[in-house]
Amino acid sequence: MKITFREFHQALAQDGCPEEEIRRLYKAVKAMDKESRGWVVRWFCTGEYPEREVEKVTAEHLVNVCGYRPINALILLDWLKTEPEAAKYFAMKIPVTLSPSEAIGPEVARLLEREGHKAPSAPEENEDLGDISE
Amino acid sequence: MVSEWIVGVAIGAIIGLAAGIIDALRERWGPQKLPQASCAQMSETDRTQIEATRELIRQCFGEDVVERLQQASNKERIDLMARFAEKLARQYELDIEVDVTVSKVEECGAYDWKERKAVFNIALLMVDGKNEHFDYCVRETLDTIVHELRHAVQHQAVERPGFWNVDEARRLAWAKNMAPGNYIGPKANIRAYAAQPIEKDAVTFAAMVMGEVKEQ
Repeated sequence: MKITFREFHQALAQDGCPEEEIRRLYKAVKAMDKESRGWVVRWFCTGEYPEREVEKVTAEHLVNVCGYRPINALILLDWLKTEPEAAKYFAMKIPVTLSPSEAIGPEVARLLEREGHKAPSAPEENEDLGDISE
Repeated sequence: MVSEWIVGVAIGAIIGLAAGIIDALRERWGPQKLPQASCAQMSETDRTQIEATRELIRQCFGEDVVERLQQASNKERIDLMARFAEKLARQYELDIEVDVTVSKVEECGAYDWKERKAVFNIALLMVDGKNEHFDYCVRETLDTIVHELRHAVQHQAVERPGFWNVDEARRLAWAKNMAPGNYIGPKANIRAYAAQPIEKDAVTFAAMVMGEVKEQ
């Protein structure tokens, strides 16, 4: 099984996911180890979550009980494998989602320009991101 | 200013929701500390302010915050938290509005970058002081207040070079993180959210105030 960027993009865009977020998520999945990448590909193609329990939680628990979006749940499960203490600390916070990029992003970009800095751009739309295989 | 409508809040529903969210992970993992390897660098000014914040917590709540709040009524808890948040904003020299309210428990508080306003939701404290998670609820509420006011510090530091003696490299990293399209929300990618400069910094600052950094 594999996912093309086009398929991934289409599915996430339909859920209202912004362009730069789709690209960042795709890159995050590509950077995972083989096992975790396989979880994402399998979920994407079949809707099935891995049965694997990491630090006493499963992806299904994170989605159904804790309210995680599926890909974010798989990202957390992957993080729990590699950095369990940090992953647990952040997962137990109740995060707030007011984005400074949306609220004050343009004025910060102007400030950076006035100071002679270039504001880093969001991921390139034309960048070839390739496929993700199990 | 404390919102008056809190009297009508369905406390039972809040407790149920809070317990559901907290129980789901806390009962599996227990209390957690932030590993030092995941911490942002803190400056001398930061460390001074971290100590000053701890002192203000002692001034506002006494030596044992949990015990003080356990004994307080819901109204007193709101007043105590409102006074603490307002004093802390003044101590940090922030030119912002601060409000304490009681709302749905999924959001403990937020800094509104556009309106320059920090709103703290203390729904987590509207539980019986004998609740087994009360200690967590108190710590999470205080942590949120410190974390969100740290975002206000970052905002002012980006606009006013020299504020809190923030060095230029860090100020630039924060500004770039705030630029259009660069901030990553926790609901999209929790790992990337945790790694970005403004969140890593705010989480570290609050964890150090709360004594939640794991020495290695």
